[in-house]
Order: sequence, then C-alpha cells, then structure tokens
Amino acid sequence: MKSSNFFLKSIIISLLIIGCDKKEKDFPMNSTTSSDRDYYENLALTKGDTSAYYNLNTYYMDYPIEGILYSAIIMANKYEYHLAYLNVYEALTSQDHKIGVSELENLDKTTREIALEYLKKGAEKGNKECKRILGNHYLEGVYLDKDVVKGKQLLEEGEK
Amino acid sequence: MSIDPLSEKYAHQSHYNFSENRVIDGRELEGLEVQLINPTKSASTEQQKVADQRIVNGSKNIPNSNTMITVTGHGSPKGMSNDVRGEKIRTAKQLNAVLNRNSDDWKNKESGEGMTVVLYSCRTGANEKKADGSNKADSFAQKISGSEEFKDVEVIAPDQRVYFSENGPVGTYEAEYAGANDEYKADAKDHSRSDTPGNWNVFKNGELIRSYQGDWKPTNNPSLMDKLTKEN
Repeated sequence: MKSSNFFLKSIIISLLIIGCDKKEKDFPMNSTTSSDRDYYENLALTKGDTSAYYNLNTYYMDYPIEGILYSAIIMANKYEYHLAYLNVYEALTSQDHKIGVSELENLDKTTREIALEYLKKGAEKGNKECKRILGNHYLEGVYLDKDVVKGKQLLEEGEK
Repeated sequence: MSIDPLSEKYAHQSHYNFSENRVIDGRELEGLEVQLINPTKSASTEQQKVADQRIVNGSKNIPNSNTMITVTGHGSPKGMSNDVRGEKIRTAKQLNAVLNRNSDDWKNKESGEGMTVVLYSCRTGANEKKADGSNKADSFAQKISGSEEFKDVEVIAPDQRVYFSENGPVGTYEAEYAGANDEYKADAKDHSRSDTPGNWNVFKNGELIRSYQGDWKPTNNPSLMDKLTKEN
C-alpha cells in the first residue's frame, strides 16, 4: 500500500514538473520585460540607438504609452528619431475620451499645440503614422487650417 | 551599436541593417506567411533575440492553405508593429499594403470572399479599454474587417497574448502577470502564460461572427471536432 502511494505521488510530481517546464518554454509574442526596458532606455538615451528605441517602443505596446514620454522627448529632441515624435504625440493624447471624439479634443491649448508640433516634425522625418494622423487633421480642418490637397497627400504617403 | 549613420538621409529605408542592406518589408516564408518580427536587431538583449528567433522558427510550422494568409508580428488592441520596417500598422490600408507587398495570393485575389487572414499578434482581437475597464474602441481586427480593403475577408485574431514554442503557436492565453486591464504588471520579470485560455475571435465585415477557445489552431476550414469542442 505504501509503495503504491509513493508511486502515485511520484507520477503526480513528475507531471507537475513536466507541466511547469512546458509553460516556461512558451514565449509570448511580446516578450520584452522590465529589465529589457531599462537596458533599451539606457542605450537609446545615451547613444541615440534607434534599434534600442524601437524595442522600447515595442515594450510599450503592452503598457500605458504615457510611460515612454520622457524617453520619447529626449529621443526626438536630441536624436531626431522619427518614431519618437510619434510616441510624444501618442503619449500626450493618450487620455481616455469619448468614442468618435478626436484625441485632441480634451487637451488644453498649449498641450495640443505641443502635440501637433511633434506630429508635424515626425511627418517631416518620414514617419508614416505621423503622416496619416496629420493628413486626417488637415482634412478635418478642426485643429489645423483645412488643406484638402496636403491632407490627401499625407494620407496617401502614410498608408503606402 | 546599431545606428545606421545614413538613416536620416535615407528615411525611406529601414533603420536596421540586413544582409547586403537589402531592405524588405516582411519575410515571406511559404508564400502565405508574412513575418514582421526581426530577431536580429543588434540592440536586442540575448533573451529577446532568443524569444524572437523561436517565434520566427515556430511560425514556420503554422498550417496554412492558399486562401489563408498568416501574419506574425507584435501587437496590441490598437494595431501591429512592423519590426522589419520600424513602422506601426494601425489601419486597414496599412495592413493591406503590407499584404500586397508580400503575398501574390492576396494581391491577385478577385474578391475577399473565401479569403482568411490570421493575425498571430497579441490582443489584436481585443477591444481597447479605458482605465476603468470599459470599452474605448473596437479591436484592430474588428476595425480592419469593416474596411473596404478587407470586405468579405474573415479576419481571425486573439484577445489575449499569443504564445509560441519551437514547434509553433501554442495558442492565446492570459498572461500570468497581467493586471486588471490586461496590461502586464509593471514589475513583471517575465511574461509566463497562465492556464486560462483567451479567445480566437473571427470577424467579417466589421462583425464578430464566431469565437474559439484559445488553444484552437486557427484555420479557415474548422473541422466538426473544432466546432464541437472549441467553438464558444
């Protein structure tokens, strides 16, 4: 009886070990951890490493985007990296807002102007997503003077 | 150091170096798979390089057919990431452009009917949430499925993280370290999966038409067994 109990327990423990091991070998698509984040942030801000900054941006796909604001401002102002300008815009406009309402609607005038300034610079640096968002703002003509020609051109370039 | 000193002068090119500096959009593995993860970025930590390489290796084992295109890339409810070009994919037109560049089957299709696109991309089938947990916007997959570019196409996407092993995708599961709004907890040391499966959501023309348990293997032709055991 004792030996059969021992045998049964051994099987259960083995199954648990195998089960845990299997899960540890599974990798999530978004695999960047907080220690990776710190490494990328340091590399990006001290050396202007765009590859490290891109990885940092990927990390924030799974965290509130406003967390990237400090790094994005430095990466944009100091190293003029196109993606960083977009991240500044995204972070400044990340507050909750009603469905169907522009992300710029609830911002104060100064913050809105800063957000649009970074968006324009990102578009100038060739960031497609900046171009697409900016193109829509020109077409809508609510927060920028309406310019259908410019809006359509930016939209086309942004969605290629 | 991975900065390409000429990158700003050649803004149309990727900021990453590839063999002979040939810039590509995705990696077309078997004609029907678009791989948007670049596991060779010089700045990546060893841990992330290993993880990304395993995803790339595992994605080669994803079953497909000539009417089912699979796209593997980092994602969120808002959209996908194109590691290879260093760009974001947020709209149907942007994803359509990626598919046109990488898949002749997609480019040459006469209509979307009968065509399926599977996004192996975390939470692209989950709605965006506000801080209080209420819905903020439809998921990326639902949005694109309602577009002209994806008219009549079935778009399959996960509402949780997608996990891979060397043998291929394991499925979509809640992360062990996910917080209340499905975001990883800030101090998470790793992103191990829990035993709680998410869902593979199937969208068509902007509507959620079916949903399958997270351990289902997405296909455009579900078997009777799939319908009996995996369909929610």
